Amino acid sequence: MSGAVIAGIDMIPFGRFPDRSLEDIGAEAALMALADAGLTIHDVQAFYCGSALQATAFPGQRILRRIGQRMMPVLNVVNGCATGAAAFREAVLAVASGRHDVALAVGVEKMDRGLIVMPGRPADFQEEGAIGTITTPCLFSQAGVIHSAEYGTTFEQFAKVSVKNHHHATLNEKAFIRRETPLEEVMASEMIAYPNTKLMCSINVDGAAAAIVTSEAFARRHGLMNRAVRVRAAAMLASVFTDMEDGLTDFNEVTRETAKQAYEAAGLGVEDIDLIELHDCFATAELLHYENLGLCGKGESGALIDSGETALGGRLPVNVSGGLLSKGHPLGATGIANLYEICLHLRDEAGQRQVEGARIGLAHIVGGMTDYGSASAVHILERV
Amino acid sequence: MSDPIAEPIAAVPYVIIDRDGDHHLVGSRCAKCGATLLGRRVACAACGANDSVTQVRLSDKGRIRTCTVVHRSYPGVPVPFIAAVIDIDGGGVVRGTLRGPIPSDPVAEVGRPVRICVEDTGQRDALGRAFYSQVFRPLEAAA
Ligand SMILES: [Zn+2]
Repeated sequence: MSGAVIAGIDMIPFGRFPDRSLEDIGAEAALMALADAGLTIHDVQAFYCGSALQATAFPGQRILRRIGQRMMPVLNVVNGCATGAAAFREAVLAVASGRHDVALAVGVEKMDRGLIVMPGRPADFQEEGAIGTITTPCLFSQAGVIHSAEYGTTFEQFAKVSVKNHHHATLNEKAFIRRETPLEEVMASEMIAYPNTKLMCSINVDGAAAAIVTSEAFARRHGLMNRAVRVRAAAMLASVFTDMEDGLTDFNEVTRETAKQAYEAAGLGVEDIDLIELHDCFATAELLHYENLGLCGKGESGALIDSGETALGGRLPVNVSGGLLSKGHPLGATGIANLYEICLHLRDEAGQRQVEGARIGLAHIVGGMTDYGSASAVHILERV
Repeated sequence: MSDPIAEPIAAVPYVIIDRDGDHHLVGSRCAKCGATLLGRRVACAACGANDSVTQVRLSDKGRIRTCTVVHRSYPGVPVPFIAAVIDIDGGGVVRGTLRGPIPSDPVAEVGRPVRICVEDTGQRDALGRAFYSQVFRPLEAAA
């Protein structure tokens, strides 16, 4: 992925904004990213807009009307929880291919509260409850139970993910939840689907994040390299076949294969990574992804969370932003928000939660829908 | 809720409604790679071969690959219930609701044998026909 850099990136603090429209928050994030880069809409040559829930309703065009209708193609992107990462990757590919010098990627979402209602399901037959479940917490609970059955991973170990990430969020003024949640509280909170309790589930919030991707040549020409972050890998895969997907959507194999491609493209291994933002939509997911991303061997993620090595100050901090568990999870915005966190650290701008000396960071996203499939993205970023 | 004279229809495409009541699940088997897939397929999802897939009747027995007890679901859906994923004997995987007592530890249920039954869900379409789908029953307790 030679030649593409992030020249500007930002996110609005995620939250609930009943009085603000999708285009209002998307425009705010886009303008923040442009300001961060020191550029304006006049510099942008292509716009990729991710919105998992409103991609069919021209979110990019609506945002463009708010920030300046300059001549440019707009592509609206949807890819489940990987929507924002997919929009960002399109911007990277547009620049890396030489087609454009400057591309804008926005991820934006307005969410309802509660369990996400899945699109495209049967209208006249209520499958939920009748043939198991399609809700996302349950899918990740079922995946967690498999891990427990194979390796003895405990409820307590899964719960420790929430303790860690909520602690991290106390240092992040942009997180939605900013309070300590002791282990006893996490384990005693309302059981959603064993082993995920309410405090082990990410929250549906509104949010927007945006990134300005430019060619390295453009960034050099315009004096932007001092804060630029290099994109070393932009890998994406969907629906890698597994022998279980007719019963449970796979999030593991697709993540493993995406990570493999990203490490290969970057010429790097997990030993080179200084911090990771991974898709902790539910606490069980984080432990599975420790193994999928190569932080530890199969079955060792329980011991890894116990060791504290993935907490801020540890050997390889994971989700120092607070993760989706704390920031909230506005589907389309999450992928770019994860990249924003990595960039903060690579620019030494993460304040109290700065991972000291961070040079290389990895951002991971994976989404999926029962019976349909998955989408995963892994980006590796490097301090210039 | 259930109406004994309602005409049964499949709630999901991989349920086969049999005139004589021998309802069952259908799958597809790939002669090239051996994969067994749920439902009727034109090509093999595992290896991509498009000339090697034949339709097969799936077994009515299997084992619990994973399950969870669902305590929070969509509005109107009765909870708790057990959402399970079953490895079907002889090949194939299917999800569904596991009947029987709610386990205190879902992890301990993994590997348990079940019978896969195709039954009236109690739901009706606009014409009053009965949606039938798979449900799982612990094999020890099956009739
Ligand atoms: Zn095959």
